[in-house]
Amino acid sequence: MTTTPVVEPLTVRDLLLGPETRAPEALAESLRAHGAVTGLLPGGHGLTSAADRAVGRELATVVNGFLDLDLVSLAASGWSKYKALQEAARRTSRSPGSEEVVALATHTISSTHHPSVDLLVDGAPAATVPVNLTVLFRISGLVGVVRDGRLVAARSGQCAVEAKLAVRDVVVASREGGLDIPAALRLREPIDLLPHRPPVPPAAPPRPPVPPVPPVPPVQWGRG
Amino acid sequence: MFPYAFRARRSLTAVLACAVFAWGAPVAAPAATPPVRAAAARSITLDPSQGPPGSRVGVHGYGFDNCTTAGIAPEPNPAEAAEIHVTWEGDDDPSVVTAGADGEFETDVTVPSDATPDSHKVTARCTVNSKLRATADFQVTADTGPTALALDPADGPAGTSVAVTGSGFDGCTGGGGEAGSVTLTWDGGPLPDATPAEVPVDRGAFAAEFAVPSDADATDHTVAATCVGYEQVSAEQRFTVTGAPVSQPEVKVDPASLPFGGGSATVSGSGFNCPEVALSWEGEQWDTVAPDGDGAFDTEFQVAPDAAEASYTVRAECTDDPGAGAEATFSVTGEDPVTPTPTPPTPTPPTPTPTPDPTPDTVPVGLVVGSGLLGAALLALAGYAFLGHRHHGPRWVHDHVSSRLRPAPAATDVAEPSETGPPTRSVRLEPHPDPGEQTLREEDP
Repeated sequence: MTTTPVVEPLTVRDLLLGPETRAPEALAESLRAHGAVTGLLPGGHGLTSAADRAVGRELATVVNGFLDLDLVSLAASGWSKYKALQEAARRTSRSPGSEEVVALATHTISSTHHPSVDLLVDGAPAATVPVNLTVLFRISGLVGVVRDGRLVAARSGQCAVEAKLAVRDVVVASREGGLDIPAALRLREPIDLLPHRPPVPPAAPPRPPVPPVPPVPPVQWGRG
Repeated sequence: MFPYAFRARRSLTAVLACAVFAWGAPVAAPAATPPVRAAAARSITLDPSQGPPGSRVGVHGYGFDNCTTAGIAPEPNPAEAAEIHVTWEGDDDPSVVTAGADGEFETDVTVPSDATPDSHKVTARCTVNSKLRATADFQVTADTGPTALALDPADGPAGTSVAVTGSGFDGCTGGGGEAGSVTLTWDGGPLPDATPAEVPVDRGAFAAEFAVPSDADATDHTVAATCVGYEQVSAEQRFTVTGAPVSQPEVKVDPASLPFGGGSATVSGSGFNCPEVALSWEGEQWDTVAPDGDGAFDTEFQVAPDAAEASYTVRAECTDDPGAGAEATFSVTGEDPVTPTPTPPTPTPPTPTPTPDPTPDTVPVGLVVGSGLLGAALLALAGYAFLGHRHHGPRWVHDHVSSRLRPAPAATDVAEPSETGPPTRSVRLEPHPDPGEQTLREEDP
């Protein structure tokens, strides 16, 4: 497992494979090195070795497409399940303009993905390549600011990220890195902590003024 | 005596009277009678006598001079000719004609379009005397379609040999049912070079050849095939005479080879339709000539004495059109062999005798000298052969050898995959992304 200091990893690809331009080649090399594309098409499909290698390279390109996942979004999906943040979000959404500062305990967010790639030879299904991606966030000392149901900023927080990619149950790439959450949040839109809340109804039109009730004439009591 | 004389006188008188009556006495001439003529055979002839349905048949009648309005017997006043009806199988649409004073008439009938291939009767009948009639048979042949003429080729310059084929000439027959023949014409005139001159027709078809007249203009011309004797059975076809063909340049060298040592040869060319022709030897131009009006030329050239034994290319091409050219090969053959100097006949050495010879080592002089000369000659020959078969160096090659690139268009071809080797395969990759599931776990403080 290789630890690579990440300055600003924004996607899983950046964390696992480095610059986007070299990512496909790096992944293809890793797949081949780990034997993940060996015997990709079982049976007598009559592929030459060159064709087999070409299919492997194209598989790497497709898997590379799975890695275009924003790390902060993955973490935000976990935060939306953080109870304290949910409550702060509900409270601030009920009181527009209010904000809460929430100091979160150390917590871990794991994001697991199971994409796959179907291989069809001459239009007939030949194989399915399973892919497993796991991204683990270990976050501590996060102090978040919640406003209008959204996490708008983080005053502090440390985040260690670990990602692991496996193809056909063979780990082909794994990396650890760090994520600067405060800096990342500054560069993004506020994160909606209540993504499943019902939409805010439109503001009700002002009720028309109630006309004053005319005074009741005094009741004349007596004998009279 | 006297009674005999009286009887003799009476006989003589009778004889004389008869004679007078016979010769001398004018006798009243009997009434003039027309000369007795032999009755003409009443008949009709058909022309043609056979043909397909729809044919027009000429009918010529003879011996109908008695067909007159006066009846059979002629009268002093000449009678008027009566109508003669000529019918096809007695149909109701006769051709009406009258005979001339000679009793002949001429008319025609048309073979019905639905006439079956069989013998049918054509009858000419005098309308005033049905006994005056004549009949002839017409053979209806099968309708084999229209006549047609094909020319191969259909165009070409003057002098072109053209093959002619005809069909549908079933109606072209000779007399007595024999096969007919056709003649070919060019623009209505005879084709003197047609082979054969009269083309026999076999079951309606024929084949022939002719040469386009040398003076034919470059335009369309009509070639016709007409049945001999039945001009109505004919066909035409168009032949287009094109411009004079472009003759291909040719060149030859005479003689085609010379032995080593040089000599003269003649280059002859033809088909060079240009004002100037360049002559080259192994790619190097040495002269130009002007062809005559027919594109021909002749020029002599000298072969260098040191031209080695080899084959050389002599090329002639138009200076204004290098593509119009031709080549010939000229060879310098092997060097003249050095004939050995004829050695004088060596004297026959005397037969040695058993007598003792004081100089037993002595050899006859002639034998020694002759052998020496022969050996020298052979040695010289070997040396000359060795030195003569010299290898040409680069400079000679550069001076005498040239190459010329002959570009040719590239050809692209795709071979279908063979049965050996892996077949063609296509692999498609279908991704199924997964947004994943995020879980949160709070650490215990």
